[in-house]
Amino acid sequence: MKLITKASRIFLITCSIALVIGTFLGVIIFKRIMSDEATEHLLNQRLKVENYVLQNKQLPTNQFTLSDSLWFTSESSIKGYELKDTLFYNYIEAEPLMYRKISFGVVSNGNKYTASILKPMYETEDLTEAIVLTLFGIVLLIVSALFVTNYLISKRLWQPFHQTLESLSGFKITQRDSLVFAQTDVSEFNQLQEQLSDLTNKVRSDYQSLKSFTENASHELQTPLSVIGSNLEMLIQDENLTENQLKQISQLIDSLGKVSKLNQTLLLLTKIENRQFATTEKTDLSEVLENKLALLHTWVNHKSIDVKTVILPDVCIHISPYLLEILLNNILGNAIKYNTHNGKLNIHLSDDKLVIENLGAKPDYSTEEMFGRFRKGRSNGDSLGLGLAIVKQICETYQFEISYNYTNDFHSLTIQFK
Amino acid sequence: MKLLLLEDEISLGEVIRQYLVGEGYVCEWVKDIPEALDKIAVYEYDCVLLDLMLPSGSGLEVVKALKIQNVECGIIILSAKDSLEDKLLGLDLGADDYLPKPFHLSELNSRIKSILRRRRFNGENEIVFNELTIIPAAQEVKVLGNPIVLTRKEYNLLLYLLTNKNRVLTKSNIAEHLYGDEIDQADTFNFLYSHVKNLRKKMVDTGSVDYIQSVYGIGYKFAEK
Repeated sequence: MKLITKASRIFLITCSIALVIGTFLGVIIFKRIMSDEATEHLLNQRLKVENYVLQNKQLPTNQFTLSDSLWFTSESSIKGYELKDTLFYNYIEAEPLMYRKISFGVVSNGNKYTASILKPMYETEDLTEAIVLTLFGIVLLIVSALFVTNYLISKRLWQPFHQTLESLSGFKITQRDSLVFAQTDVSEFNQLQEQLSDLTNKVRSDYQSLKSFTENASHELQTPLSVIGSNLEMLIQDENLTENQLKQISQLIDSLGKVSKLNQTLLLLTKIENRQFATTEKTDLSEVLENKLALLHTWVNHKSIDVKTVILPDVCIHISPYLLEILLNNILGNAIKYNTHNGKLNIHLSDDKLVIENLGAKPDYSTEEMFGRFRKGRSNGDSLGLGLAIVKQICETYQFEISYNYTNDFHSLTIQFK
Repeated sequence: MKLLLLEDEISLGEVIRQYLVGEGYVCEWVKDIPEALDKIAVYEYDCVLLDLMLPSGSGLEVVKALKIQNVECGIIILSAKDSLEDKLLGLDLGADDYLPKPFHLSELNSRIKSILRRRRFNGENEIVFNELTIIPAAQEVKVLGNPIVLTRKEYNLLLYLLTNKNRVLTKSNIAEHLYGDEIDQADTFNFLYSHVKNLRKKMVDTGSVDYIQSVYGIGYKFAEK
């Protein structure tokens, strides 16, 4: 949700709630006041009637001077004072309407009467309605005006923020120059831009030093490895070596090979992580895959593996050709290496995914752990356990989804391209 | 054959020089760029071997200088800097080959020989070893004048063994030369064994002496008994 939408939404919700509660309270208070007024008015008229009867010793001849609706009924005994709301049929409006009625006992010339005064209450209802509606209209107008103004101001105020965000989204860790932001006179945004500048500069320089570190580490390690390897190679040329000595040297050579392979592989992983393979090209995966399979032909034949392929032609993906090569080498290599003798290998390439299935023993660890570094089965002492970690890293780099499962003696690896 | 080696690492330079001298080359060894530039300005070499990361800069400078002077010599870059850009840049500038460290000395030897063959004789020459003749340009092998049909891998294996004759080559060394990083090491040894077996059989069947000797636990050696 956009910031401005969120702010507007909160504003509108708050206003609506306030409006509803306000209107509700307004109606109640207004009604209470009107009701009190009516009662007070009736009590006043009662006083007037009682005073008149007291002074003149008779019932008023012209009742309308005292009240609009006053009448007397003779009674056998004096009734007490009573105030109540009742419905009376109104002939003008042709419907029963709400009235407040006060009745009290009066004694005149020894005769007992009950005086009743009516006050219409239905007028109050109409008045309340009119006032509330007017008020509601005014408030609604004010709120709308506020809302529009607020929206426009916010939009303008946040503009530098959006510009900054846009500059930031164009940032690449490999770029040579610092980020440039649009000028703003808001100090908070200025501060944000300064912080972002510092941060991105730091990230860029860290990346550069990491990059040169990996290269230097490679150089520093490879050279001594070369020295050891070359010397061992010279050493085995010696005719006077015993069989035992040759065996020992051969073990040294094998271990050295492992160390240098490990070094290369870890460097490769680091390089992929650091996105040092910036060159992506539109690559014809179908063609590369076919070529790779042709190269692996000897190996497949050697293990008498039954290969079934369904490869859709002209499937293109954007990837560094070098990394694609490594990716295919690793997954196809695994599918052959961990296949059983006379096993099966199914390769299925469609527009959006590559599925590789191969027969093989149940893995020693869970499928979740499959892509971890240095994961290897008990039976594979020679393996570095980095192959699938590299595959995963490459897939992550290009946002391919990779999944693995093991069912019915089949290992199945799926790479889903976006 | 005169070679120039540019390598700042003393222990590595020493062993490479020793090996190449053992192979019958005249090998001059320099440790930094100015020295190398001085040498190529004065002497002619058949092949120059260059390290890339040097104390006073990049070995690519020497490649540039060689190209400016239009010297007709082979150039092999030896470097730990095995990033793709460096490799492409080096080859673009006119280097003939790129060998990432660590490498086998026999692999280096094979690359040098291959370049020298291409440069000297336009690839037209023959490699003759007793009754064996290899014509690299046509990828043909003859025993006593009779051609034998070899698979590509068998041919590469024979050429590699012959190029490094009289030297013990480890199985991993040969496997790497034949397969590169294509196939996992463990399985390549089995292939290698069957390739060697087939090659031996084809050669002996055509009348050649079995020159391929197994060195117990290590690998193979191509030599006269």
